[in-house]
Amino acid sequence: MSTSIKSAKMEEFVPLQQGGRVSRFLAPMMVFVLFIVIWELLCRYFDVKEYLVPAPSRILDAFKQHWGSLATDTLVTSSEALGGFMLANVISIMVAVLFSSSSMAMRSFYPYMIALKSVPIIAIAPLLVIWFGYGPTGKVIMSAIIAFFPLVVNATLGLSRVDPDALTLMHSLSATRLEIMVKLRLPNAMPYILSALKISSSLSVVGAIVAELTGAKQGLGFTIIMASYNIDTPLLFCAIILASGIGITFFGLISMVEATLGNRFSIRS
Amino acid sequence: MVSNDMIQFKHVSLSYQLTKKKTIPVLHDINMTIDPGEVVSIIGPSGCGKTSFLKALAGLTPITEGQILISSSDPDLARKKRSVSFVFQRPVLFPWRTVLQNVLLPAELNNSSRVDDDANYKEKATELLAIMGLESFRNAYPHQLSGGMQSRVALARAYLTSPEVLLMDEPFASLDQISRNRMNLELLRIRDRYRSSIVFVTHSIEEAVFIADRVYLFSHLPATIEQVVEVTLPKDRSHAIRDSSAFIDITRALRQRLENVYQY
Repeated sequence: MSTSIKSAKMEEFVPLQQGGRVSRFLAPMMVFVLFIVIWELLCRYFDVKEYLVPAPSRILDAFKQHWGSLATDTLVTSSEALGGFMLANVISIMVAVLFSSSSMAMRSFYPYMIALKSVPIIAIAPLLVIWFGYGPTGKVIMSAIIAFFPLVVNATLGLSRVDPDALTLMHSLSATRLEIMVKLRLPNAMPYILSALKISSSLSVVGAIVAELTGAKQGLGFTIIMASYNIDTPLLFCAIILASGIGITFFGLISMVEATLGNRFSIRS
Repeated sequence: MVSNDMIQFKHVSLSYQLTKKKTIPVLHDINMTIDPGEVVSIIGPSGCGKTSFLKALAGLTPITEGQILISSSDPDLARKKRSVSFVFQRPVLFPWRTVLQNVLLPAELNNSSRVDDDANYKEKATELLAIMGLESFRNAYPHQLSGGMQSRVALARAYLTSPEVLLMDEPFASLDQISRNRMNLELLRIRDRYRSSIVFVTHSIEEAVFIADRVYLFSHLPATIEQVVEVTLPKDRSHAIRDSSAFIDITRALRQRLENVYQY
């Protein structure tokens, strides 16, 4: 190309950026492969101790060796996280609806919510073990608590931050409070709720794992703590990778929902 | 007491209670009579209570003194009977609804849609969109439309319930001059078809005169009626009228009077 940068117009750069559809996926993949290869080589060349940093090949071996139990752990943790996430969704939307429709409720409860939000969640984990034992209930609750706050804050914001003219329009049409909630406030809050769902979906996985670390019989958190006691670092890496995988999957699913709904509920351009 | 007047203001005053001791008077002793099918413009300095005036007319803000009657009934009742429609400065369309769904919104609220009415409303909405030249955009979303088209959708929504009174709060203020002039003409065309009275608040003297049978000039807060100007132009208006000497005389007189009212 002989066109000099100076004479090129802005539009001419756009196809260049978009043209590499393949490179959008290929480039990060290459980085990943390169990273793994260098990691493997470094481990072999410097003979790094396996309990410190295992080589990728060793992690793969551990995957093969523990495949059955790791699959069960992943299933357990993801169902706990999913349960907590759902529970947080339902409760937070209900609380946000209450907050946005009654300033009295908002004034009375909001300070406590902020106070509760400031409690380091990990500190609650042992308490949940005492109350709910080693079963999944405590994990679901922990996951729900941690996913709850971003949701309730954003949903309340979205429900209250309504165009005043749109409210006057609804009043001029003699709309009832319920109609204003269903036909105006809730759709208005959708972009806020969707972006909070993305944060909460990953947080719910964190909540489940943190709860499992404190006391559980299965799950990725349980495997992580056991592997660390046994200094089985390859297994530890496996569990960490799977845990991240759940978080990424959750995030990806919500992003897909957002992409399909996004057009309809996007904030006015 | 029955009268033929569409809207009657009798010694209407309105003030907002700020604190226990402090009140802000907004409207003072407004007297006004508007006939069916008549268009009146309200013009005045900004923040002179024009919006409060419209809200009082829609029964959304209680007045402190006097009486407002719309077809001999209370504004609150008139609003509930869907005799009054509001059009705002911005189109205020819901971005998650299609054009048709936006127009049909009034039919979905407060039991206004009885089962046998549903089809009628849909027919009416389709008719309105056709009049506005928007029939091919019925399934489009608001963000896909231009500003002028969005204003037309808002107008169609306001006319869905066949209101007797249309309240317009600077409805075309955000449009460019060409679209604005077109919308003025279109509004008059629709008024002729549906015979509604229109109360039109604006900042533009030309627009106020072009559209109205009568222009009310409001004073500073608390707003009183400073002057009433009968617009003695032919009922059937076109853009050419803007160049007529009668039009220019009226706008000039209004501008001079408005300059006295404005005190910067």
